[in-house]
Amino acid sequence: MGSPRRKLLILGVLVLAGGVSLSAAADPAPDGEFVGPPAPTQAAPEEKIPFGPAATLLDDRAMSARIDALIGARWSEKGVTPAASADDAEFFRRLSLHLNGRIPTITQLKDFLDDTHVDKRRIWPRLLMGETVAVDGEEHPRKGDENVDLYVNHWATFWRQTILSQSTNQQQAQFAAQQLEPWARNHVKNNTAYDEMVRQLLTGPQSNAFFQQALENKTEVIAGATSRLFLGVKLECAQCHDDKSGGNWTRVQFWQYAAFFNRQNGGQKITIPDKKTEVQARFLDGASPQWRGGASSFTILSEWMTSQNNPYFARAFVNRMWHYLMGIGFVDPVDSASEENPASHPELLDELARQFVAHRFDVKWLVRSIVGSRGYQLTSARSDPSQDDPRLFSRFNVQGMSAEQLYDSIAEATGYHNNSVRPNTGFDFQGRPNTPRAEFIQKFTNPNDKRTETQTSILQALYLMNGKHTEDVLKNSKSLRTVQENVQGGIKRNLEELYIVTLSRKPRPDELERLTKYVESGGPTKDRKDALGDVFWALINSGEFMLNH
Amino acid sequence: MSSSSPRLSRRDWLKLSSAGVIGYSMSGWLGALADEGAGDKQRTKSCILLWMNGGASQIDTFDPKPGQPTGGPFKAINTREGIQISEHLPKISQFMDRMAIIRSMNTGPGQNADHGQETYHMHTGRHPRGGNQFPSIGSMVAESIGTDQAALPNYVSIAPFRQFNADAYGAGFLGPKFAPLMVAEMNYYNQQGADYDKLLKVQDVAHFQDIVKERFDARINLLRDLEKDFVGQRPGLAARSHQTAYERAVKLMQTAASKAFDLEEESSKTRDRYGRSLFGQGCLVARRLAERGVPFIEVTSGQFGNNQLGWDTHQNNFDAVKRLSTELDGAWASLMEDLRDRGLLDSTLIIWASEFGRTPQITANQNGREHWASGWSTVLAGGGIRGGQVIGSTGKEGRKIEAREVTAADFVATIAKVLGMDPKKPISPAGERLFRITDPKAEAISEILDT
Repeated sequence: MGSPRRKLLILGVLVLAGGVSLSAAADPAPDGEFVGPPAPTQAAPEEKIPFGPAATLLDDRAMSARIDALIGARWSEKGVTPAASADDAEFFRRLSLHLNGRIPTITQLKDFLDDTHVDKRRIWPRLLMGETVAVDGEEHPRKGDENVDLYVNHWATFWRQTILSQSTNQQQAQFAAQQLEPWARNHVKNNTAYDEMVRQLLTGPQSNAFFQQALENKTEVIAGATSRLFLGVKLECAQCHDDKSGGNWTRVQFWQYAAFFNRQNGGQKITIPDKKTEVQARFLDGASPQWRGGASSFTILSEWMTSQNNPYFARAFVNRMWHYLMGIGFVDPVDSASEENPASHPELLDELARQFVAHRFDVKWLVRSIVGSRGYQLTSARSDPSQDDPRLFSRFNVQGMSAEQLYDSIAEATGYHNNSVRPNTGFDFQGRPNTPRAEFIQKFTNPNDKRTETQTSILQALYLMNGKHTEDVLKNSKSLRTVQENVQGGIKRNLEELYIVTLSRKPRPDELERLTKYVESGGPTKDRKDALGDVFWALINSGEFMLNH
Repeated sequence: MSSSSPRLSRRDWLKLSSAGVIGYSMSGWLGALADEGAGDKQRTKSCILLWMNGGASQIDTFDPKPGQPTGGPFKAINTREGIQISEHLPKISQFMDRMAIIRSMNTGPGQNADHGQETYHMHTGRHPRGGNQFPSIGSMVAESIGTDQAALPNYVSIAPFRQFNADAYGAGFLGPKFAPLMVAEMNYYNQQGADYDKLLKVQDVAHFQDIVKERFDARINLLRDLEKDFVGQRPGLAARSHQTAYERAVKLMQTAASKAFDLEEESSKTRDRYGRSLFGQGCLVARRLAERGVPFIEVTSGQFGNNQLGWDTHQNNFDAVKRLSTELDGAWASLMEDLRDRGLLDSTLIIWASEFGRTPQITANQNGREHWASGWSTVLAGGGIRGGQVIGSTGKEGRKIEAREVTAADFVATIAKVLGMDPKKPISPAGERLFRITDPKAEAISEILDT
């Protein structure tokens, strides 16, 4: 272990790095206390002008330009050298994963790479979202209908996972999922406005029922969940005591908000448990509700919640979408905005939110604006140490894939689609998987929702290397077989084909050289086909395949 | 890492450490340093949690009320120390000098205790609250006293039943690196077959049958090249974590580590002693893992069968508990005996626990007991425990706690202390809300600690 002096030095370093407390603190901070970084340099602009829809409507192109300007301004301020722009292959793989939930087909990839239109990076997101696009200078509009199902299913899963992420009871959540996913699919297909979707979850006769069921129909659980999901604010700590850390919510405020969900008193008031004090329902900004006959408390609350002037509502969703596409939100974690947890780019978050409202909560507009920005289109390859802070967005943040994305991408890469796109979740109402896809998903669902901090576990690695699923897909892989049978094409060509079908790119010269030698030698069995199979196995198991970069 | 500061923030340190970038976990360093100065005192190095799935009846096990209206038909036996336990636990009663019974667990409302919430509560020491992903005690132990270099994961869970609450068994915000390695996972539907050998093995630890070992090794080398390039170009947690997970998986495959699960190495006589049940054989695997230094091992008792889930004896309480107790008794006593004979009992903490207990009242129509979380029992035994004693009491009929209440957080704090962990150690990611191993209000049961 080394001399005592060396040990002391190491210990000193650990202490200096702030990583060690050598003795229990005399007065430990209370449980759940926020101990955060120093206050931000930029003040939040929201207090200057009351929140509401932006005066001038910016289309997605103009919004992307604003995003570029504000992100870029911070780079200059911090002396950051941004990464280079992603090449077409890198960009298109990323876009396909985000919009269609799987790596691109080789046909689509080729079409995109061959597309010479100067604006292609703005046209293809629409196509991948199932739209038909009339393109300047082209006779016929381009159709994206082949992508509709993929787009709808992928985003229905996004909604299901987002909404059910708050559920405290897994059995209930699985049951609710059976109904939630078809509901979400319908809305994605129709591009229902976000505010309308939320109103339905709160007041729609059926959707409200399964939403609440996932939250065990408990008043305080629903209160906590809705405030995190739709307002981006973590109130639960204030459920039992004044929350001095995140956002200064008092216990009274929590229960005033929870009152709306209290069916017992028509949602107008509630008794704080074990305090026996009764409080009246109040909105989070302190305003009193205007009750009217015939309108339930849920309706009254949903009107306030989804109002154009509610700063929490629009910002929370914009932040969530930013987190989803860029790997980390302006506010991180996404559901606990507070004074001690400020936004990294408050001005940009504010502008995006106001525009989102002005566009009537059009989710597709928001997606297009973000993926059309320079930041989204940077490479994830690092070329400068100034690119290491994920919150500066100076290179694309490498993100994990969801279990669904991984399964569907493996299906696409191997050409073996074993029910990979199904209309239901694949779990029976007891939570038992009844399809290969559902079995796979069960092994991979990660409760940590931070995309940049996705971690792989040993069991997952074993499963992917040696498990039945991998064995099946490799045995049945059309793409591998095609390559193996293409003796005429030559080994270099074979390797290119394997790379394109898995990593959606061509191999680099150094990779090609190394692997050509391997395949030429035939590997340990001196068999060319076996060697190609080995390369294929390695590609499917690689980080480059499993991560979204 | 921020380019403007040469130091690592605590957050970065934790992240890089948990991604395996920094060789030792921080406490690995401290543990090694502390060892040098520890002297002769043996440290408790392993922990085995015997988890009774469903809510084990305390009156019919460790807190008997013979002759009382709440007592039921079981008789009580007296240990040498003058402590009474159920007649159906005769073998384990021989080890009472190494056991401390806590009879005053108070973890929730009496009858409305919920399996999902309380499984989580007892595993983490905290109430479940959407959004805060607290790690289970197993993950916290793995993170605190496990070593990165070990071939076996530092938290192994045998026959877990996760359908009440999967998060109760997870690593929460500590990350998948500290998630348990699970074998023989149980649910409502899988058949409890007799093929324990197969069930108790790590899944997927053998490569495809139709490729030879040399080919697998060649594949791993190809993969290593790809990983090296990718991590080089895209440094960061996601890429590094992928690379590390694969390296550790390969290590598990290539070393003898996974042989720990191979019960064919044990004699038939030994296997009979533990009992030819999933739980019995699971305890034998646990002993083998403890011998190999795995810091936290959990074995679950109580699968679904006879239309009832394990210890959740709403119906026919006495037949079920007698059967389960007999199975428990043989396995647990064998475990204690073998650990003692191998000189490991002093360095292994054994915990007997459940999500809650059962009502003193017996339901007339079903001859059962309902859920009961205010006045039930757990047991701590082995290393670091001052045995032969009872903590707390539930009075003549067991209807309420009369002395020395113990909360779930107190319970977890006690376990932490026995294992040399500081219950006040922060475990949440830096820069966010501060959470420690337990709520700072929790107090370890000092009477139990053998310090």
